Amino acid sequence: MWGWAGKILKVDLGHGKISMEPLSKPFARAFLGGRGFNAKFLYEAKAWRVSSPYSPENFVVISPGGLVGASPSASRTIISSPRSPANSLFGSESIGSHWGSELKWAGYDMVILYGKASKPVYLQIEDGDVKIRDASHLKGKKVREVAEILREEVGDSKAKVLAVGPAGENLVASASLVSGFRRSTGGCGIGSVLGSKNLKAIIVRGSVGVKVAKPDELERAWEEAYHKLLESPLSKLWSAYGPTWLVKAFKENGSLPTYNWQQLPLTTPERIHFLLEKYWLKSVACTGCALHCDRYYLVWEEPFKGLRGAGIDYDFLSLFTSNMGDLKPREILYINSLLSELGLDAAQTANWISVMMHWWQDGLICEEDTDGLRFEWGNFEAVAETLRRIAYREGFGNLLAEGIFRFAEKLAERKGLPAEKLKRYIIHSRGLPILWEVRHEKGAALACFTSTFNPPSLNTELWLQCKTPEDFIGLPREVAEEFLKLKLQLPGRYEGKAAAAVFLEDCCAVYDALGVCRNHTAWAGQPLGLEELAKEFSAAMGIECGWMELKKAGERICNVERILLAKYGFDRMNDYPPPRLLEEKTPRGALLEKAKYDAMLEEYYERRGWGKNGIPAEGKLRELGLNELAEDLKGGR
Amino acid sequence: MGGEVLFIDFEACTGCRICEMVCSLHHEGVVNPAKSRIRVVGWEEEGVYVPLSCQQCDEPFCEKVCPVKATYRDEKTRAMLVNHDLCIGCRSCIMACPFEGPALDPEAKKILKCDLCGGEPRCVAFCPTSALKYLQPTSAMLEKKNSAFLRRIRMLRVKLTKPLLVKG
Repeated sequence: MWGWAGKILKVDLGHGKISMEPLSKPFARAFLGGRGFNAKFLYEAKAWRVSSPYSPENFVVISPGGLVGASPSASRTIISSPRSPANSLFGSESIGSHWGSELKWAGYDMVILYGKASKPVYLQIEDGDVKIRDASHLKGKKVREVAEILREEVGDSKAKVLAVGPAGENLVASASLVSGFRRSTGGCGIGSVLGSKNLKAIIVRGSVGVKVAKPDELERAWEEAYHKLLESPLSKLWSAYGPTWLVKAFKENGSLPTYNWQQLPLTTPERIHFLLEKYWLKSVACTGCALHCDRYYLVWEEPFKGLRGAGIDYDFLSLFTSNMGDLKPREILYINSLLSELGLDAAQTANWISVMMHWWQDGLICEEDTDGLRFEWGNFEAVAETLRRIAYREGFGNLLAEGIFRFAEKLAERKGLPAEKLKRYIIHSRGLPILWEVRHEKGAALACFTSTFNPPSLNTELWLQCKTPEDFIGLPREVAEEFLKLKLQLPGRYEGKAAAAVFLEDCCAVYDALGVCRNHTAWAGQPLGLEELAKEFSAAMGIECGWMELKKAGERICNVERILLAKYGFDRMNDYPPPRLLEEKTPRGALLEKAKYDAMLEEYYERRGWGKNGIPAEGKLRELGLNELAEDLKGGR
Repeated sequence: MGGEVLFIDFEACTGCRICEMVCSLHHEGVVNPAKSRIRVVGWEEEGVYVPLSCQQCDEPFCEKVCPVKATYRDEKTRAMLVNHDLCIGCRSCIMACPFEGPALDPEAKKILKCDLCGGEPRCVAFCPTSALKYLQPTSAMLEKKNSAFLRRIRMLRVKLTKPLLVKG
């Protein structure tokens, strides 16, 4: 098999059994990899029948993207589970770093973990040699220490470790998986699913590599994409400033959430780069990435002298620096290190804490409820202590670790308040955090609340200055012409946004399935579009394929995920924003209007070929070659 | 011109391993860092990544220890190459090299050694931060001095400290 590694690894942790299966080519071709493989696998395994996140029947699927290990732009791995602790839905997270490519080079397209080990174990993968080994000595250890011990134990300093921290072991609903210094993002809490299975870490080393169909053609495709990418002005910003430029840009156009989405003025985001710059030691990158947006930092001042780490990303910066008020730069870096040591997801945990701060502001909680911690905006001590208490489930952290919704319910019960009053403060999309303001950008709102994958959203403001089809960077000409006709680049318009949402969601499904970092792609205003990827895909896999075919695969993935959502009992009712976004105006006067949002949603379903209830119609499924799903749907969900 | 050398500035290396990917693709037709002629060794906890490749030494140890004289110098690029017809796979060159230049192909059991791609190194063409450059030795010396100087400035700015483990 070209391009794909061609093997699926199945690990039954309960019985200590390891088996390998060949990857079926039609399956690979239809679903590409990563997110596509996971979605289809969850469907075939009847994921919705799994009762609870921590039951042994719950499983975890880890798939590196289709082009991971075969293209420099691709380094992402998607990790999914049928019941995620954060929202009890199927959940998917994404991790960059070097782990996924090493797994692909070890010869696996998918790793499926099920059952529950009787004692703590870790998984060692070295090409065809897979072992389940005892991890009793790693119990309770923080992530970096685990990585160090494991590398020494297997005697390989280049091996890559994916581990869960104390938060995962203690079944925290926002526990993440950490590779090196980087957390996985998604906020579904899959770290604690692994924790419940007693799996502490997976250490991988690969030397099999990826065989490609047409090496010369692939090298030319790489070179073309690589030069386009490096010449793009946004790439220069990513390389020079890392994610801080995005924080600044979003602050300027009003997309950055501040003070738990109250959008009150705040000055830190504009200066964030200069505040943090003095601690940057150098840029670091995921496998093959030319943008190197991550930074390795070292703090040399008290009280955090000697603090070091990496893994600063937009999710972390936006939700921890501005949504929680003013934190000092050193404190931000300390929190980042703490999160990756404890194995907590930045976005989800930040969302919880900023809601707590908002409650505090409105006098809904007091020191009694928080063990004496004062949740004033930007109170670093409270944030750091809360993170620790969540991870070790101490005091009020024990309840908060089950998620902010559950905390709100219990709190309401104790205070004799209606739970809805407290829950209103939580801004989320199906229980997962959203990362930027969507009230002024109607298309972003639509994509955010209809998308079947996290983190969703699109930004049509990217195209504000576009006057001709060529100005739409990375989009195929036909699509750009249609977008121009619809005038959808104007942020305040509701009309035409459905077209952009449909197209970009399909594109994102392709990027996630191929493992391409979204910061390289048309989704983020970068030149790597479907056309460039189709070239790389054709050369690597040896399957002649145009951008239309890739887009179709993306649509297929979105539809499978949508059917999955329907199986979990979700439909149109769950495609609306939380009430605050429909009722509270931003200081700039932006608001989502329910009636207009409804019309936009209607158009979205129509363009998708879905019914009025938001469930894919039989005809659409057959058109995408999903006949078995169409048959299944006939029998009702 | 000719006579250029592969200049490695490890301070600029981000550890992205694109050089390993393109090297193996170009020479072996697979994407597999284990078959790359250039290797990035990294200490993630320290944020240090060092690409290691053949230095094409003027007095190469690999040539001296080779029992069958399979190692020879290319006239055009001045790169040390291996004649695979003569090579007996004794791995003496790997042991003798102080720079981790030659490596062993895990599958074909043959010696992998940088050949400077005939004068147009692919790793240099793909290095996003110019940590790899292909320069005349004199310019390379200047670059090296430059980077040493920058390093010293940084050392003055950042007094290196003992790592502090996050208290939790």
